[in-house]
Amino acid sequence: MEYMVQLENIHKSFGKNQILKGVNMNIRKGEVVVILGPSGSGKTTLLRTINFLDSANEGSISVSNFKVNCNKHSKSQVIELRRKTAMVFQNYNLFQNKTILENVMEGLIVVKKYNKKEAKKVSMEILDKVGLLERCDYYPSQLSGGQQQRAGIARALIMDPDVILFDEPTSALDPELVGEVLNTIKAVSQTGITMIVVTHEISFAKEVASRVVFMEGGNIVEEGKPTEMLVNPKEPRTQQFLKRII
Amino acid sequence: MININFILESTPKIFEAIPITLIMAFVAAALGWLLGLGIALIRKSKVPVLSQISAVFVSFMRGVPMVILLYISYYALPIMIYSYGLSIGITIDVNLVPPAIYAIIALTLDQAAYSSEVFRSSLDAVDAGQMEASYSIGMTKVQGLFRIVFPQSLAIAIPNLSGLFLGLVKGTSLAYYVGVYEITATANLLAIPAYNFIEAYIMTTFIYEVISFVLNKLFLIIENRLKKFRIEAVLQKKNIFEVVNYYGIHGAIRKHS
Repeated sequence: MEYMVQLENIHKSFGKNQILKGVNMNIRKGEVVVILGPSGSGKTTLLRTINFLDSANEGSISVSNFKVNCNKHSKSQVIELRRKTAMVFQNYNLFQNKTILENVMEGLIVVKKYNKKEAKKVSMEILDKVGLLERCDYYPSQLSGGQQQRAGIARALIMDPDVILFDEPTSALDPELVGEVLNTIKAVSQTGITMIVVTHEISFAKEVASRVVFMEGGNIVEEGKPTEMLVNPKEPRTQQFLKRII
Repeated sequence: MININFILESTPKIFEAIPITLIMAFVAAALGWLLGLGIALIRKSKVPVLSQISAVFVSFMRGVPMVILLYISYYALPIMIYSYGLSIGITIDVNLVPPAIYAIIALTLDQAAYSSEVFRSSLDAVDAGQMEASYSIGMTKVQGLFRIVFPQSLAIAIPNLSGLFLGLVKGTSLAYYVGVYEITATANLLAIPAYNFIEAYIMTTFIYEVISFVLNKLFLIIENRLKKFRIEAVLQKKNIFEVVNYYGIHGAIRKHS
């Protein structure tokens, strides 16, 4: 079986604090994996080890058959791995000194070496898809959180990554803006791209996920299809968590 | 009484000294700030050995009076260059080097130390998420720094750099002590024969004021250009109705207060 993302025995500590205690995960092409879990369970850290924003102390990461050993890697390997992934951040992290259009074009021009005209054309198309065409000349600070996050999704999508990592994409948003972002993510998921989403939106997980993973204390406690796991969790810890959050 | 004749006669001569003042300031700022940015990056990324050396350098430079630094540069440097020349078998005539060069060296080192602190704090002020986002789309560290982080930190640094630069322009007057005929030195020398010091100092003050005023305006223009991505700067250009139209009345009030 071919896997798009393979995480093997991922360990990560910050100082003496062990965050990830040997996580294994295999994700097929086109799967939408939603990671749930209480704060401090290591979900975000796990996501960030995949593109080496945090580099794991032990284990290996492979994305579309490009394998990187966590305790023995070169800079160029990390960059290549990052170019196979893209990330959508909790706080959007749009480039503050660039307009929305420039934000989206940046990766195409700098990383993929498109010429400006071509990059602009492709970027406009993708901004149209996320509904930000009229806002393309605005700076991030002039947009609402929901608009910024949709721009963040466009910036990730345009790189045509093998997998997109969503790090609590709606956690920083006003409640009324969550819907527009979730709808955009839903639309992205329907394109068949592989996605890993860390979120607290259970109903979203139910609708979009092909698999739900519950983490706690740096380990995966339980995983399964959303219809089974969210409705009938086996582990007591999962039951407790879901009862509290729903 | 103020000697108007003296002022009229010596003004052109003092004007002739403006270029050397400005050259010293601009060269020292250009070289010093580049060095300062380097030091800031070394200290920020904690490069072993270099970062400790940088810290000691900055601490020393901030403690030493400018005049002493000028003297060290003017008296000690030529001896060092001369003896280094001898050691490799060349006799270097250090007297050929114009004193302004020594002044520029001293001013550059001073600027490097002070600007490195300005750059360090302005780099810290850029959210770490900006670099992470650069990495996340596959950019290298150098690409992320130059395209994303530096432009933002420069916008933050400009007000402080502006202050540093105005201080530097006035600091060049100390080059008088090592025999550079810049504005202050020229005015002083012209004043000596007939004791026209009051007139000379009025004129130098006036000239420095004008230079500072123009430079300050220049920095403001640069600052506004660099900050165009910040909402506050945009607000200055838009009229209030456009702002209300865009954010709604509550949003506009929030942005304005």
